[in-house]
Amino acid sequence: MARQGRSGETKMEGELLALTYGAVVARVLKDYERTDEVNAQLDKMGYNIGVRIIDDFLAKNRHGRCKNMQETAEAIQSAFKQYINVQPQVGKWNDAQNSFSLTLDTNPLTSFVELPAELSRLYYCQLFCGIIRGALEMVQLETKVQIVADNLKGSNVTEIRISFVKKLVDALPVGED
Amino acid sequence: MVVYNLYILGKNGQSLFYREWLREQSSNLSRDEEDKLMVGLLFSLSNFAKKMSSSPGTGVFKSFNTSKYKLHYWESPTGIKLVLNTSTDVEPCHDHLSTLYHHIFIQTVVKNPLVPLTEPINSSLFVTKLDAFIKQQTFFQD
Amino acid sequence: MRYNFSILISSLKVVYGEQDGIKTGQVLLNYNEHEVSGTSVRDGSQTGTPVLTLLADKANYPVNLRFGVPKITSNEKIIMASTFHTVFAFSCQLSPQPGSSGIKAMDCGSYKFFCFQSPTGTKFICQTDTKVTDERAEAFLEKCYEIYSDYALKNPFYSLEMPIRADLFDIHLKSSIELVDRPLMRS
Repeated sequence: MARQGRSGETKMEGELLALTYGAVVARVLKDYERTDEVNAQLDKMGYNIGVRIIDDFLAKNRHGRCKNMQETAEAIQSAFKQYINVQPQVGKWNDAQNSFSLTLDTNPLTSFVELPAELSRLYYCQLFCGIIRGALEMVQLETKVQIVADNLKGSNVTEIRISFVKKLVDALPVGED
Repeated sequence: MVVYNLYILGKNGQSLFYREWLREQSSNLSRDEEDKLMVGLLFSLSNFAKKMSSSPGTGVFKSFNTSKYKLHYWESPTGIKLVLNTSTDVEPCHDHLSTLYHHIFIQTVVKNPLVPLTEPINSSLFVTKLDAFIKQQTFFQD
Repeated sequence: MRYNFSILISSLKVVYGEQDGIKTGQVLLNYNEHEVSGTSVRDGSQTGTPVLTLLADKANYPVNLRFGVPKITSNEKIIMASTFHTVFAFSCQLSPQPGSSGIKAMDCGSYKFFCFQSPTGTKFICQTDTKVTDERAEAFLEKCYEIYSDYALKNPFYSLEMPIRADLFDIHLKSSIELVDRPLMRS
């Protein structure tokens, strides 16, 4: 389920990914107890992945700088396909065309998960939000990313809402426009 | 192929001459500030080129290109610096710059006893000859 | 002795009087069998003996001096990197055309120099001989970007913005350099 390995590399099994992530969430829950704090930790972990994975994505796809949110949405969509082999739907654009939803029909992280009632405020997949936010920040886009529908809470899909906040002009490397 | 502009800078980095043929982005800096920036750029690059060379004395900065323009550089042993900016498809014109120096700059400026080599050049003969020289280059005509 | 030395803080450098294969810009590396560090000979004494004192004494001749290219210290590397960073920014600002990138390729007579900047702002720079084409250098630097993202960024023990000390990174970088270096591939 993970991305197709290049020759000579072993392909990671999707089940192992789901189990590993489950173990991580359980551990974070033990360490932090408060659900809000756990969400924040998962987001932070994701952010740290995001600031690194963006260079991998750019190096391997020769992707030019996106000029609007539509292009960014397409890039994120293809990144999901590349890294976890699911193709999310892009949609629900707002009128200003700067906020959209990514909808995942299947979510490889939640294959075996049932959320206990007392953890109803846990965003199990908050990691995704952190990754997207971190990655976009490295290409000078500040965004707000949150889970608005969760397949662990009765929804059929996982829906991630991504909203443009501002372009970080000061962080723009010289010679890029 | 396009020729954008030419800078001539003196031994100590003072601006002697500037002319533009086709420049699409005028700088947000004043003429003076831009000349200073150019001097800084050339000074750093020449030093850099010298330091990076594997055998001493062989690294001489000649040109660079960015995505939008190419900068050609030639310096006389006496320290007069010629800088020509062109579009990126122009072949290296290091030799053209030395020709320009020898045949036009020396003839009309250096040999003129009334022109100090530290102040901006104010000679219409030089400008006419320079203009004709640049315009006869193959890269200007295309 | 007809070499003209200039004494820098760190070394004895030939500034004039190129002859016998010794070029200006080279520095004194050995005095007889001893290594020269800075301006002193490492001859076993605690502080070393200044080379110029030894050379001033006729009794020490004939001497065997070895000159060579000075090694670039890591401090100098940092200075050069920051110089390039500044120059790169200047070159954007001085562009006669709108929307220019910084320096991508540089011709320095005896060698060439290439720079590739990722959208996240990391610069990859290489120095090559004059036979390497722009396309080849660019492809190589993009490959470096891949290696950087694989073996530096994806390594959980690598801290961002810090020098890369990773064997896997070195190994892969070396093999991609060998690929560029292969004579058949040269243009």
